Amino acid sequence: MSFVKLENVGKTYGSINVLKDLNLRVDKHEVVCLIGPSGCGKSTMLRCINGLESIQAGSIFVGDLEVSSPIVDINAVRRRVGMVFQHFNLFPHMTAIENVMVAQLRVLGRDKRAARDMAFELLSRVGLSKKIDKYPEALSGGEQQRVAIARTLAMSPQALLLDEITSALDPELVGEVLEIVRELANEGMTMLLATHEMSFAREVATRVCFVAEGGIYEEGPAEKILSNPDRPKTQAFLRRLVESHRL
Amino acid sequence: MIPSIVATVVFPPLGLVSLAGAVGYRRSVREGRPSVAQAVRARDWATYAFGAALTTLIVGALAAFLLLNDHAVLRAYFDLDALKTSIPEIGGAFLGNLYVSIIAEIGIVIWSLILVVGRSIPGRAYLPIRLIVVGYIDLFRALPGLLTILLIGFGLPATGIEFFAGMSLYQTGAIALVIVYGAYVAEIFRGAIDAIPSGQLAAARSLGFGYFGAMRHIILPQAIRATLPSLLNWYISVLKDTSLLSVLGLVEGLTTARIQVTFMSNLSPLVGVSLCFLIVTLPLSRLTDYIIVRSARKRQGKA
Repeated sequence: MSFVKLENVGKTYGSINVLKDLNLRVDKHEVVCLIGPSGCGKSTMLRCINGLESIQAGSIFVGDLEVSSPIVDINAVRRRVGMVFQHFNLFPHMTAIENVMVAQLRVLGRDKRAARDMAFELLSRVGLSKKIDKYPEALSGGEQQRVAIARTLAMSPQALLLDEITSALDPELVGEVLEIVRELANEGMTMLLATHEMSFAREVATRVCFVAEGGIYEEGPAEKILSNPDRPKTQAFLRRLVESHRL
Repeated sequence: MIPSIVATVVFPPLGLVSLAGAVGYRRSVREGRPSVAQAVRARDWATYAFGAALTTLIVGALAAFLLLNDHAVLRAYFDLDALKTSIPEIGGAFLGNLYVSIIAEIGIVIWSLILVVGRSIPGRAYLPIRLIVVGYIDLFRALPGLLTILLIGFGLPATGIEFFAGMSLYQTGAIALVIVYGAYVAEIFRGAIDAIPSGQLAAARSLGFGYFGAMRHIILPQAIRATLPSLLNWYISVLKDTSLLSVLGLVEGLTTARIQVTFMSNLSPLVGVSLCFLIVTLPLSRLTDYIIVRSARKRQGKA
């Protein structure tokens, strides 16, 4: 039983087809990596899954909720799937712990003490127990992204959408963020991540999908897709990565 | 050289010093004779002398104007006795201005936030609401404030509705100011909201916030912070415009001063009420600048 299911999804911006007849299933406890050149639709796909973007054709399911249905309680969907963004998008007027608390208080209606305990536990888990009262601008990119992950986990999501979460980071800060994703994967969190970190994809992904032509162009086990793909566009993409020493 | 000549014409004593410095500098440079440091010093002194001459000229002209015609100007504006007798009463009436302006400012912030949220609710269903809000904002920004004040100030009590009819002039005046300034401040807020990165709304929505929840807890708090300097500036405008409420018959600071001017045949009460305004507005202007500089420094520190 798939937890996230995309069926014949089509999405257009004006006259541009971003997604075309796209099909994807993600089972519980799976870690699926989306790879592909910039602008191929990876981010759009993730944003459609939690309803930040609407689709023009097909249907998207999260568990038993149909995201693409006009009568869906979209906030229920969003409580079920958390999202972490490339540019962190922390709330700059709140401290780290307030960032992790605000949705617990205002969306889940938790009381302040419980929210604070939960936030502290999550921030400790991402290694930031000493920085809970810092504002985002006083944190490094890696630290900000770890707060963002804690903020998302505070809603107890059943799945995570990670949208190129290390792309805006200085190279030396990438590791600390990936370490947390690795732990989540080991704990069995269902994840769908768009990434350019091929070695990381090889390590954690149960499945790798190469996105091109507005759909899943080729998919399979990480080892297969990243070492010996069958189809020409995937091969060309990997060749370019090798040439630029990124694989 | 030319500034020094000008200085010599308008105020010979300092001008001549400036001229001497400038000439000395030129000669030194041309002959390459004494040290360059000396030439530079001569030039600096020439500049200082010019600045001093100009300041003296401006202050002197002002003093001359005040003392003109046997101190007539000075007496017309700064009659100490007239100031002393009129200021207590003016000050008391000016408290009314302060009261109205503070009530109005609170109302303006609340009302303009309502307007800006109404203007940006997404969805086709709310199109009429958006149009009404846009129409409101356009209308009241297009009308002279005084006209709106007359319309509201005389109109509300004339409706005969008990709630409005029972209101004091302070209250109807404050309502008029809220209606006018709400339109302006809503536009300020809209600018601030537009400047907030779209990722903020996306992040809030992805955490399960509804549109209004995201606005209230995430977007508006940031917008209000960003507009704080503008809000202070608008408060200064609101305070100044409370004097317009005199057209409704409100005996506020300026009206009181004018009455006393008639009694005393002397303009000093107007200076007195000016002082009342300045005591509040000048520090606020400085505060606004300080906040702007501080937030700019903060942003740079972040970059």
